[in-house]
Amino acid sequence: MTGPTEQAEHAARWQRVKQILDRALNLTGDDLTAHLDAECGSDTALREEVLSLLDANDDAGTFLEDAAVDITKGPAAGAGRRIGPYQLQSLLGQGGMGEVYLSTREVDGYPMQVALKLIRHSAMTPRSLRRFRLERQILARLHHSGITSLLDGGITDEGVPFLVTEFVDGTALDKSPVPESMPLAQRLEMFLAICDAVSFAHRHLVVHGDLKPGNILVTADGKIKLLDFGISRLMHSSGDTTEQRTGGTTQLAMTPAWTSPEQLIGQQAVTASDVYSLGRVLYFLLCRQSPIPIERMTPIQLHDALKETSPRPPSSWADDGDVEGDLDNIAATALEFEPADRYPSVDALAEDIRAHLTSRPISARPHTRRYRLQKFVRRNRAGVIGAAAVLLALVIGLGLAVWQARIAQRNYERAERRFQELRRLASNLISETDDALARLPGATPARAALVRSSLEYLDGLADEAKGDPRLREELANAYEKTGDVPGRPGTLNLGQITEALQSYRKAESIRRAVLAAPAPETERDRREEALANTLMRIGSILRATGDAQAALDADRGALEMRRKLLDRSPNSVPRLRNVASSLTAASTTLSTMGAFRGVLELRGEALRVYEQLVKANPSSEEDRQGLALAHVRMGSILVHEKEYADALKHYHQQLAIQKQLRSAHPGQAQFEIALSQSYLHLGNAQRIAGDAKGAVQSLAESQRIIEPFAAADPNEVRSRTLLATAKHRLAQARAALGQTDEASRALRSVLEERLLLAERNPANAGARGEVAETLSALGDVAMKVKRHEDAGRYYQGALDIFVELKKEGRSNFANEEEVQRINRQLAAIAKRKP
Amino acid sequence: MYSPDVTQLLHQWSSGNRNALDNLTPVVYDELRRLAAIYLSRERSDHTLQATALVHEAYMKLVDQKNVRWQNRAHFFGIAAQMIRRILVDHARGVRAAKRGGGAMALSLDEALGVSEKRDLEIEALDDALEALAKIDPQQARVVEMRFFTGLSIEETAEVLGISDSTVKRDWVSAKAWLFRELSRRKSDA
Repeated sequence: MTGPTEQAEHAARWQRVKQILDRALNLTGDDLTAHLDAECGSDTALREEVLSLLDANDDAGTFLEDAAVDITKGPAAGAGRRIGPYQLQSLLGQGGMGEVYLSTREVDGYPMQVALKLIRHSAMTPRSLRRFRLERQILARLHHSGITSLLDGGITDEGVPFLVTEFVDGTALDKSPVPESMPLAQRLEMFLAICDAVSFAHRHLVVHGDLKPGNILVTADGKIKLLDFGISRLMHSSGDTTEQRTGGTTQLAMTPAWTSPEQLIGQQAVTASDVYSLGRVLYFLLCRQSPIPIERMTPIQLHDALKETSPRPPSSWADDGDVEGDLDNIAATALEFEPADRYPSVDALAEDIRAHLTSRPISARPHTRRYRLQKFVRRNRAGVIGAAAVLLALVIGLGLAVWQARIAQRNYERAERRFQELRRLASNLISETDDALARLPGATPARAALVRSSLEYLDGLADEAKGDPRLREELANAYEKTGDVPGRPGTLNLGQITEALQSYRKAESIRRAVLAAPAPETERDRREEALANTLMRIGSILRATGDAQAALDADRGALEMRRKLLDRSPNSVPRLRNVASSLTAASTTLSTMGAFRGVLELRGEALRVYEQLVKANPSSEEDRQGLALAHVRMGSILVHEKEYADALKHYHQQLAIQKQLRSAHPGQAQFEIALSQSYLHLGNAQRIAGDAKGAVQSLAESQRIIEPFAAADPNEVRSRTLLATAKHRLAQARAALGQTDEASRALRSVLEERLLLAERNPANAGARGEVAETLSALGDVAMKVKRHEDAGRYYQGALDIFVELKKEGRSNFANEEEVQRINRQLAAIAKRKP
Repeated sequence: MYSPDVTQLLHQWSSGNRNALDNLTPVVYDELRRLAAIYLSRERSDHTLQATALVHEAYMKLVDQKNVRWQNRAHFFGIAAQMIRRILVDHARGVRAAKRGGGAMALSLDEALGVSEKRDLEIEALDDALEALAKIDPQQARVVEMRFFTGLSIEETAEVLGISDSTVKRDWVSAKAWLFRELSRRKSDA
């Protein structure tokens, strides 16, 4: 239908329709009829066309009025307009949120000057209007000498919300000449007044959200008055959810320079956002500069820049020498990228300023680093931990630089002292981060990231450290710590065992070299203790890799050294503990080798030592945990010796201890996991002793406790391993009760999980052994229901793995026993075949 | 960071040099497209910003803020209007395609632009109707584009198109009636 001529005709006709319509829109009744008669005459089609458009216009309502994308935010208001009782006089200011007009209202015949702010925003819904009113009421209650009071508010005819506040005859902080003329102390007093107003609002649950010099008025006599309290929140709350984000971002497109990073990406302002903006205001008052270059950046760019760049210390701009350490630290703390790293409140920030003014120590310097670390860890984000690692690397790197400078420079002592400081800082960073991470589920990737960057720097430092025994020792400590992070069995681990072993071996060789040098006796004792600790770690790693002989060497080395140390000081609690733990470790290694008599002996001795320790010091959780584990180990060897009654006594004793410990620390990963393990031990012993019902109860409890931890972080091998084991044993107990279908279903799912775990860490012989164990248990269940062919396949699968492990020299005695049993079962199956 | 060319071109265009538009459009479009891609790559919904923010970001990036008058700004957004329309329509189609299978991209675009889903169909139909309107009255279609797809005011639209406020007002009213009727007819036909 659309030839060129035809289209031209259509176009011409439409112009005519438009013309008629335009006038018709303003007419009704007879006038309209007359107009149509005159224009359309006998052209009924034309008349119909106009009439249908008139109908459409009547029906259209708000059609297209709500723009799909609203860039300009509403109609322009202007001076001279009247809104309610207010006469708009002149524009006072304009910003992302709208315009402020100096306005008047007649009160008792006299004009009262007020400031009226139009809040440009898209259409309001009834619900958002209700919220707007609610917020307004809250703001109206905010009476403080440093805050401009809200007097009135409402909605204009066009649906634009407006607020009326007292009019303050002042100049914005950045335009006012007053602050610049003040000495620093007076500027800080002014800042305290600002903080006081913000803090007051926070106590009334109002967040400013847009603090900046432009919103802080300074009167001629140097008083401050804050504008626009809660407006940004009001804006947020007055829109629906999608509008909230638009409100936030468009507003920010206007004043991003003063805004907190979280607001830059559209999040709602919280009190910590105000702390950040106050930090910017402080920074401005100190040096009238911006902490990072922000010229022409978009909000997103700015956000990313703030994430990557540390604010330049204000003192580096200062032309006077007054802005030194304290104020740099205070500004830096207020300007932390992460809200949780900033001052916890405006009051805390103000308190540090006051402390500085009265020459008291401030909180920012001594506590920040530790505080910050805990926050890092609490937030549990790999990225943040990455930052911690970079910080650590930086500190160590700095230490190295200073140390090299020390050699080059004459100023020996000073460099030395500075270096010691940095070194201490570095090792604190490692241990604090690590200790905090150890208590948190889901933190293992973060730990691994921390380790990798730490190691690089340690290796670099190690080359430089030769000849300085104290530095070498600290290096050994650091290696040991990093070794702990990826995979010491018994702590949370990612299964990266080989990496850890390398770190420990590095620590060991450094320690041996240091020990070889002559030293006073106490110094030597300390170094021997440290070496024994390292050997213990090596033993435990080697045990996990299945290298029992090498593990035993390490265990025995440690035990021997510790026994000698105890001889020198027989009542020392730490040395008693050390001997007990070495006894335990050596016994565990012996058990993997099948030397059961030795095991029983060593474990008995360890149990007695722990009992002695707990008696001497009943409040020590560490010793109680040690005693619980000593019971477990006694129980386990007694089960092996088929002394079930004695064994179960020990298992019940250990469970009682773990229950007490857990109830003192509910929800804390290490205690919950320990309790789960405790039930697992008991349940397994019950199962073997023939109490299948008791076993099902205990094992189900074990599974229930560990499940959330395994789910919290799929990379967390230990709790997943534990969960799989609990399920495995539970299935076995169920099979013993005749619930074979359920048992074989559960075992198949355990098999899948254990295969995944073994795949994850091929170096862990135990994980592969566990796969074989599940296969063999599946074989047992199949036998029970007389599916001999299936059973044969499962057994054969298990056997293959065990044989493989043996070939690699990584089998243990329990495996050997299992292999014999499987062979008997396979023989039995073979006999049945025709 | 900003492109001096764009500011310059906006000035030229405002002062009547229509060729400036030809040079301006691709720069603005490229930037919008580039930004849209960045916005899309931010997977998490709390990072999503909306079309408004996207256009603002492009504007802040391309234009020297100190050197523009409101007219230049209006021109910039006038150009953006076409692009926004295209993005929204593509998006609406993408969502429908996605519902027929595939198209995770389109769904994340939805998040990136913050467009309400119920609006998708309207926008697609509107785009078709607007296309038809453009055939009989291109200027009027542009008015709708600017008013609806960027929220430009009557005055700003008049400035960008170089016509009077009253013409824009007339065009706007009759276009709304025409489009409303068109969409109602299509709806009842369907």
